[in-house]
Amino acid sequence: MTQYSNVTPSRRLIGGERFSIVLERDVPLWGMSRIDTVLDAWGQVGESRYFYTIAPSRQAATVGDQRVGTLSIRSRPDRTNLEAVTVGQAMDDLARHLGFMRIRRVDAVDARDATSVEELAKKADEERAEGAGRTGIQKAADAAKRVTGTAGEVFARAFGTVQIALVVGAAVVALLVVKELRGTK
Amino acid sequence: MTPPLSDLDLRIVASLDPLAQPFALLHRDACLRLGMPHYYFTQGARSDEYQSYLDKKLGAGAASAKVSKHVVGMAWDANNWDAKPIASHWWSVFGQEAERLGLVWGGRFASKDLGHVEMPASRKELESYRAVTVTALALLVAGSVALIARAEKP
Repeated sequence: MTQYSNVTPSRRLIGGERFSIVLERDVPLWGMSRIDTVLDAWGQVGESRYFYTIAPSRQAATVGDQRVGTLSIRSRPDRTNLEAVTVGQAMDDLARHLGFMRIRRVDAVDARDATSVEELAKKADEERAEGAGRTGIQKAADAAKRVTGTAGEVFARAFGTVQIALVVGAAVVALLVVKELRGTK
Repeated sequence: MTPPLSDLDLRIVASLDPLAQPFALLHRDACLRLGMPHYYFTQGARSDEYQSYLDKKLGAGAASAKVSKHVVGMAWDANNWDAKPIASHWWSVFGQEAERLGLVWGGRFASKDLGHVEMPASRKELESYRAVTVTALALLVAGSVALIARAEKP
């Protein structure tokens, strides 16, 4: 059961609001990668529907005699319908993203910070501009339909193809160089 | 019909090598079709620095940046969570479907990594493949440019 301090879970979420969350336990190795991907991903901004991390986003702490992980997060200002959810619903959604560990406690730290909101909105624009690799993924989905054989067979064929391409490319370039040299004599 | 990929899943799959991307999608589809409740991609490609961080700072079973296929975009991690940890039965399905596609499942590793899947070739072969691909492309582009330039010469 998640405990809330300074905020009731039924209150509407506000864009740009900052929270500190305490996880059920310390973060295991594979859990770190999940959190990194979900929330900040070492510079490759991850995707959580309602939250963003604030650096330093993740720290270990001791509660009683137990080691736990803490995350410092801010609600995203750039999402439509952000304020249609309650703090509790948004935290449940985050817990679902994190997947493997429960949120033990949520502390509301401060409310909207105009400057940070602008910065976050700018960052969100940059993210959108990156396009999240959607074009590439369509190619991958098409390629998946055409896959024949196992991963090993596909790899062997692809390797063979690029090796032929390398030989052809090298031959073309060598031929051009030879012709060019002859032409300049 | 399997559920669409979330934005996060899209990012993760897009981070993989184009050769591995279709297999990540096929594996997800296969698991979901067999009734696995969810299939979340956890991570795809990792930078050298990040893999080294996992290895050196955290220890506990992470492969080094020189060994991990995440670094060359040929491995991904996934999980299947729905309010409670995944039932062990689903990990068997997860592994079985990976192997049916000819992929390597982390559940067979000495230090089990149940949610890990990777392409079957060795890391060295995968690196060679990527190097050859980049070189071949560069040569083909250089050759094409030179041919065009030559054709345009008076």
